[in-house]
Amino acid sequence: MLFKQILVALDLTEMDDFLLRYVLFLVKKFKTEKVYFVHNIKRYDLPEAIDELLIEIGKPLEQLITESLAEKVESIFSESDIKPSILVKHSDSTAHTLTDVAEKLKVDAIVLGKKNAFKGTGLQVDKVLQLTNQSVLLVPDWAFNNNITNLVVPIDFSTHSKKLLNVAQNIANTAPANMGAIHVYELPRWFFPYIPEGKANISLLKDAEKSYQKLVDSRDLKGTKCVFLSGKDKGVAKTIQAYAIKQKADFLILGLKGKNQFTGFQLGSIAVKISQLDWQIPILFVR
Amino acid sequence: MSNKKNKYFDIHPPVFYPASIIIVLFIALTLIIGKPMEEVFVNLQSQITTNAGWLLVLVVNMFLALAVYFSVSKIGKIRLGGKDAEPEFSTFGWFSMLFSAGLGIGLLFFGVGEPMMHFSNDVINETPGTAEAAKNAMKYTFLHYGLHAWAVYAVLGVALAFFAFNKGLPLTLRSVFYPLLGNKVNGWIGNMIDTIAVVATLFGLATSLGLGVGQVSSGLNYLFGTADTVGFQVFLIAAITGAATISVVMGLDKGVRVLSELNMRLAIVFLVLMLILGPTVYLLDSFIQNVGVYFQNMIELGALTEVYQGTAWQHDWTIFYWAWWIAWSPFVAMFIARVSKGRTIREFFLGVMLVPSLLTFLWMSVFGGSGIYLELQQGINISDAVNENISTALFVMLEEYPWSTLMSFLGIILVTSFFVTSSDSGSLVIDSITAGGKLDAPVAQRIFWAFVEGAVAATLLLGGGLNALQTASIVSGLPFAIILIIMCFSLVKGLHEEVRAMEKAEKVKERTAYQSIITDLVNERKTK
Repeated sequence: MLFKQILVALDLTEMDDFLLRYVLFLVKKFKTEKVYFVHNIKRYDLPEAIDELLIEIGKPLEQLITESLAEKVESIFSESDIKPSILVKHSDSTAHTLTDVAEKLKVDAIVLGKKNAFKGTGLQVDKVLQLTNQSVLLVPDWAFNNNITNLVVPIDFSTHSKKLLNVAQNIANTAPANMGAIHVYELPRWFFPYIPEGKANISLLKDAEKSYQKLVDSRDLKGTKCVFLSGKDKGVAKTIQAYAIKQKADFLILGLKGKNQFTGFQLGSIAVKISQLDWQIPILFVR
Repeated sequence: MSNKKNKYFDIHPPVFYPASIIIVLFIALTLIIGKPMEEVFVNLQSQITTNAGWLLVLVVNMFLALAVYFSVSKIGKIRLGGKDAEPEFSTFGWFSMLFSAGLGIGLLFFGVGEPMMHFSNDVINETPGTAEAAKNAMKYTFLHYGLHAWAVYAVLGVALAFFAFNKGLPLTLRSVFYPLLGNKVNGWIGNMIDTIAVVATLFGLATSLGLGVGQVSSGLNYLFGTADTVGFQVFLIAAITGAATISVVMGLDKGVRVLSELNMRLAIVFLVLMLILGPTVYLLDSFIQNVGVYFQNMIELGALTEVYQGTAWQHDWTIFYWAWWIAWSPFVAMFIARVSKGRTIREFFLGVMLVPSLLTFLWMSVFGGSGIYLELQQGINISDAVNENISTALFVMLEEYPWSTLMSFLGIILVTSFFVTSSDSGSLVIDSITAGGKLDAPVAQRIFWAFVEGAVAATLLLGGGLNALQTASIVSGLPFAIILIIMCFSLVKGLHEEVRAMEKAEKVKERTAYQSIITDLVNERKTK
C-alpha cells in the first residue's frame, strides 16, 4: 500500500497546520501505520539574542523544536490511533536530509508542503523529486478540500504508466473516487518541421488511442476512461493543469519516470514543470 | 534619451544624422577617388592580417572560452528578460531566424566553393587534390563556420539581450558598456558607439548585397541565359530590396519570422535533395568523419598562426573570416538578441552555437563533399571553374548531378531569399539603433533604411567601389575586436553582479524567514 509508512516534512511555518490536517486525513483513509514528522534545522548563524535566550531557558534548540512540534502534532492527531515520531535533524540541505532519512526508514512516500501564499524557507521541491527513490506527495497551502473524490492521472503509455494506473486504481477504490486518465500528445516539431500539423495530429491521436487500448486490455482497467488532448498551445504541463481544473479534480497522480524525448511527452521533466505550477490540489508523484 | 518624433519618423538625432552623413560622405569619396581608395584599404587589410592576425585569433578563442563558461556556470541560469519571461517565438522559428541572419548567404556562396578551393590549392605546405587534402579542406571550412564564428555572435548577442531585457537599457550597442561607463553611455561616447554600429552594419549589408547579386546573376545566366550585366544586377538589387521592404513593413513576427522559416524549410529541402541525388552514403560518411576531425583538432586549429610553417595561407582565409565575423557581429548579435527574449543564457548558447554549427557542418559536408567526390572519386575536374569564379561553384557542381536545372533554380531562389532575410533583419536592427533602441519604430523609417541599403549597394555596383567598401568593413574588424574585448569585461562584471544579486536575494529571504520562525518559537517556549 502506498501510504503505509510516510515521512512528512515540517518547516515550523503556518504551512504545517495544513499539512498535519491533510496527513491526518490520509492516515484515516489509507490506514497508515507509521508517520514520521521531520524538521531540518538549517545551520544559519542564529542571532545572538537567540543564543542568550537558549542559555536562559537551559534547553538546546533541537529540544525546543521537538517539544513545539510534538504539541502541534498531538493537538491534531489526538483522535488518531497511531503514534507519530518526530525527528529533528541538522544540515545545510533539507532536500538531502529528507531523502536520506526517507531512504533509511524505508517509507513509502514523502509528503511535502507546497507554498503558494506563504513565504518559503527554501526547500527545493524539484531537488527532492530528483534525489528521492520514494514517491512524493505535494500538498499545496491552497488545498481546501481534505478529500479525494475525483482523481486525474496523466499517462504516456510507457511501462511506468501501467504501475501508475494501478496505484491510481488502488487509491480510487480506497477513497472511493472517480478516476480518469489523460494523455497529452504533442508533435515534436523541431524534429519534423515538414509534417502537416492536421494530419500528424490525427495520426498521433490514433496511435495514442491504440496504445491506450492495449494498455487497458492488458490490465483490469476496462472501465477507465482516457481523454486525449493536444499540447500544442499550452505545452504538456499546462494542458494537464487546465484539464484538472476543468474536471474539478481534487487529486493528481503522475509518474516520475517517462518515455524518451522523441515522444514529446517526457514525464521526467514534465513532472518538474508540473511541480512548479501553482496548484490547489495535492499531486502525487509515483516513483 | 530624447527622440525627435513625428508620424513617419522617431529618431535619435545624435545617431541618425551622423550615421547618415558618414554613409553619404563615405560613398561619395569611394566613388570620386575610385581605385586609389580601394588600394588604401587593401594595404590596410594586409597590414592587419599580417601584424594583428594573432590578436584576432586570440580574441575569437577568448569568445569561445567565454561562451563555454557562460553556458556551464551559474550564469547559465539567468533568464533573458527576467525570471518569468517566456520565449516569444517557437524553437523552430527561433533557430530559423538565427540561421538565416547569421549564415544564410555564406552557406550558398561558400558551401561548394570553400572546400573545393582548400582541396585544390596548396594549404600550408600540403599536396592539393589528395585524400589528405580533402580531409583538411573540410577541417578548415568547419573551423571558419563552426563554434568560433558563432561564439562571436553569441557573446555579443547575450550582452545586448541581457542589458536590454534584464537591465531595461535600450537595445543598442552602447548599452553593453553600461557597467564600465555608467551614465556616460547616454552621452557622446554612447552616440559614437551606436553610430559606428549603424555604419558598420549598413556597409556590411550593402556590400554583401552588392557582391551576392553576382552569384544570383551568374546563376540565372547559367540557367536561363539572362544577361550577366551590371544593369541586370541593379535590377536584382531593386527586386530584393522590394521584397525585404514588404517583409520589414510586416514586422518581426509576420514578415521576418515567416520568411526565415520558409527559408529554413527550403534550405532543408535543398539539402535533403542534394543528399539523395549526390553520393548519399559517401556524404553521410564524410559528415561523421569531418565532425570527428573538427572536434579532435578544434583547439589546435583555433590557435593556428602558421608561425613555424612560415606560410601566410590563413591571412586570406582564417583571419579574413575572423575580421569579417567581428565586423558583421553588431548586426547579427543585435538581431539574435532581439529574438531571444525569454531564453535562459544556457539555452541561448546551446541554441546559438551548437545547433547552427552542426547544421552548417552537415551543409558543408553535403555540398562540399559532393564537389570533392567528383574530383577525388570520379576524376571530374570542377576546381578549375571554382578557382576562376567562386560565385559559380555551386552551379558547376550541380551540373554533374541529376536534376541539375531544378537544383540550380532552387539554389538561386534560396540565395535570393537569404538575401531578403539578411536585408530585412538588417533594416530592423539599424532602424532600432537610430531610434535610440526602440523596438517598434514607425514603418516609414524601416522602409527608409531598407531603401538606403539597396541604394548604397546599387550605387557602388554602378560606380565601382564595392570591394573598397568590403575591405573597409573588414578593416573595421580590428578596432571593433578591441571594443569587444572591453565589452567582455563589462559583460562578465554585469553577469556576475546579477548572479550574486540573485543568490543573495534568495538566501537573505530564506535566512530571514527561518530566523524569524526560530525567534518566535524560542520566545514562545520561554513563556511556557
